[in-house]
Amino acid sequence: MADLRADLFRSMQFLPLRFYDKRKVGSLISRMNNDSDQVEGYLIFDAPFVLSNATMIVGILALLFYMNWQLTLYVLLPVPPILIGSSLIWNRLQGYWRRWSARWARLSTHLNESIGGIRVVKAFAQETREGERFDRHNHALRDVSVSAERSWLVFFMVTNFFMSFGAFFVWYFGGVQILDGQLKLGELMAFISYLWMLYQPLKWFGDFYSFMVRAFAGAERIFEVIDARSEPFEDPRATPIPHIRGHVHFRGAAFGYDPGKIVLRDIDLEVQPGEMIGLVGRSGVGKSTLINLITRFYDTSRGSVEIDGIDIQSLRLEDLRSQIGLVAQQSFLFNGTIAENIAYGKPSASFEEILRAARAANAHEFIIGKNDGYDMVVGEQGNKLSGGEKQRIAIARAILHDPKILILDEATSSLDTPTEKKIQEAITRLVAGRTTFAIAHRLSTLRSADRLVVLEAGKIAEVGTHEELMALEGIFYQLVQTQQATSAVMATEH
Amino acid sequence: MGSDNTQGETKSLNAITPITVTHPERVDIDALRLFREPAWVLRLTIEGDRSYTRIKIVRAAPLSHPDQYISFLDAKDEEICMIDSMDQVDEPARALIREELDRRYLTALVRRVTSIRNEFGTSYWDVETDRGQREFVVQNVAENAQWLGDHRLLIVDVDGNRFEIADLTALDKRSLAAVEQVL
Repeated sequence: MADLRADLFRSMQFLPLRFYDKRKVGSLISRMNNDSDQVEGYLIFDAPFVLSNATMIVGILALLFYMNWQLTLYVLLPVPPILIGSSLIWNRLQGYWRRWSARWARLSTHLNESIGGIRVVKAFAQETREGERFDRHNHALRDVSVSAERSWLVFFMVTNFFMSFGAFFVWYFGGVQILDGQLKLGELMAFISYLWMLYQPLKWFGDFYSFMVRAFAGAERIFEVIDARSEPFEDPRATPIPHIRGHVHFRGAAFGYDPGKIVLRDIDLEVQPGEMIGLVGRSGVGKSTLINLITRFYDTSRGSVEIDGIDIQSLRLEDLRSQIGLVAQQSFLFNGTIAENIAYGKPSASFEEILRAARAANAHEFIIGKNDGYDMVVGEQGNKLSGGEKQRIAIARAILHDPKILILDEATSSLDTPTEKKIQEAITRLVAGRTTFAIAHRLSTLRSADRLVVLEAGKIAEVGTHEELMALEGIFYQLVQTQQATSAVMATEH
Repeated sequence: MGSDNTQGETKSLNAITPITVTHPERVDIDALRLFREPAWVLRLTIEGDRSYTRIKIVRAAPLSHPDQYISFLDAKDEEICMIDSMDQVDEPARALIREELDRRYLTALVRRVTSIRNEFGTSYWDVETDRGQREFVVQNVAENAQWLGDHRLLIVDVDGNRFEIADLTALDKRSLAAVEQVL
C-alpha cells in the first residue's frame, strides 16, 4: 500500500501542469488519503480472507453433495438469481461510491480552501457562510453515503431472503425424503448443521462484495492519476543538454490553453545568450504564457521554441528545467528551515554556498537577525516571513541554483521602496551573464533590460530598447504615459 | 572590507559566476580584538581599522552549526564580520564568545525524562536537564518539536523555552519510552 501511495505521489510530481489546471488540490489530496484508505482497508482486512472463506464454501458444499446431492441442489437453487442480482447491483453501487469519492473530494477542496484562506474569510466576516457551504458539501456526502448503504442493505436483505429459501427447501424436501424412508432424521439434522456452517462464509462474501465495490471505485480514481500521461522526463530519445548557453529562439510559436482559444500567435523572437528581455503588455496579454513555453510547462500548439538551436521538445526535460531559474511575484517557500529553502534547487550545497547566495540576495542581513538564523523554520508557505523576506530567499535560491536562463515574473512588485531597492540590487547581481526574461508592471523597473518586447492581443507588437520604444510613441509609450499619469494622481491624492 | 565585492557582475556569456558577493565582511581573524570595557559592554576592535561598542554575537545557524559561522553585529544589528569557526580565535576571545552565546541561546539539554503526562493534546513534561530539574508544558508536541537530525530533537514549550534532546538513543529506556509516547 505504501508503494501505491508512493507511486501516486511520484505520478503527481511528474504530471504536466495541464493536468493540474483542471483539477483541484483538495480533490487530488483526497485520492492520496481517502481513496487509498479504501483500497488499503480492502487489501488488508478483506482480500487475504478470500481463499480461506472460498475453501470453506467449497469444502462444505462437497460434504453436502456427498451427504445428499438432491438436497444440496435445493440449497443452491437461489444462487443463480443472487448472482444475477449481484452483477446488476455492482454498477449501481459503484456509481454511488464513485459519487461518494467525488463528493468527499469536493468537501476536501472546500476544507483546503477555507482553512488556507482563513485570513480572507475572517477579513470579510464570512465564517458563517463558509460554515453553510461546508454543511452543503457535508450533507451531499452524507446523502450519497446513505443511498449507497440503503441500496446495499436492501440487496443484502433480499439475498438473505432468497438464501433462506434454500433452508426452507431442505426442510420441506428433507421431510418428504424422511417420510419416504430415503433419509433418516439424524442425517437431515446433520445436513442442516452443515448448511448453517455454509451461511457464515457466504455472509462474509456479501460484506466482501460491498467493500470490494468501494475499493474498486477508490482504485479507479487512484489509477486515473497514476496512468495519466506524465511529462517525458525519461524519454531516451531526448537530446541531453548539460550546458545551456542561453540562446532562445521562438519560431512562429502559437499557444492556447484550450483548443480554439489562442493566447499567443506568430511569436518570432531571437534572444542572445546573456541578453535581458523585458516583457511588457496589458494584463492577460500572454506574458506569463510566453514564459511557460520556455520552461516547457506547456508545449506550443504551432511553431517552436529553440534553445541553443535545438527544439525544446526534443531536449532532455531535466537538463532544461535544471538550468532555468524562476523568481515569481509570490515566492513559494516550503515548511523547512531558511537554509533548506535556499538550497532547494541544490540540496548538496555546503553551508558556505548557502551563506554566499544569501549575501548576494541581500537576505543574509535579515536572516542573521532571526533567533534561529538560517535554522529558522519558515512555516507553511513561508508564512512566518514577510513578502520581501520571502522574495529575497527566493532570489538566494535562484542564485544558488545557478540557472543559465532566468525568469523574473513580477519579482519586485508589491514591495515597499527600501525592500524593493534591496531586491533590485540582488536581482542586478543575479541577472549578470544570464539570459533573462523579466515581467514587471512597473515599467521603470525594466530600464536595465537590453530589449523590451511589447505584447498586444497575443502577438509581438513592438521590440526595442526603452529609448527606442519611447521615441516610437506606440503602445509602450502609451503604457508609460498612463502609468506616469496614475503615479502623478496618486502622489497628488496623498 | 565592509563593501560588496561586485566583481563578475559584468555579463559573461560562457562562464557565469553566479555568486558574486563572497564574504564581504570577512576580516583578518588575527586582527580581531574582543574585550569588555567597561565590564558590561562588549567591544570589538579590528586592529588598525575600526572599533565597535555594544556589539552582539549571534550564531548564523544555532541549531545545525552551533560552533561555526559566528556573526558579530554592531549596535544597529548590522553585521561587522563573521568567523567560520570558534577555533579560529584565541582562548580568551573564545571564552567571551561562549559566554555571550550562552546568554543569548538558552537551551536546556535534557538528560533524563522523569515523566510525561498527556492530556487532550497538551503534554506535561518533568525532566532532568543540564540546568537541573525542570517542568514544562508543550501544546501539540508534533508541531512544537523540531527534528534537528535523525535522533536530535528540539522542543519548544508554551512560553517559548527550548529543551534539546541531543541524542534520543542515548536516553535511558524509560525516558525514551516516555518521549516516544508523545511523538
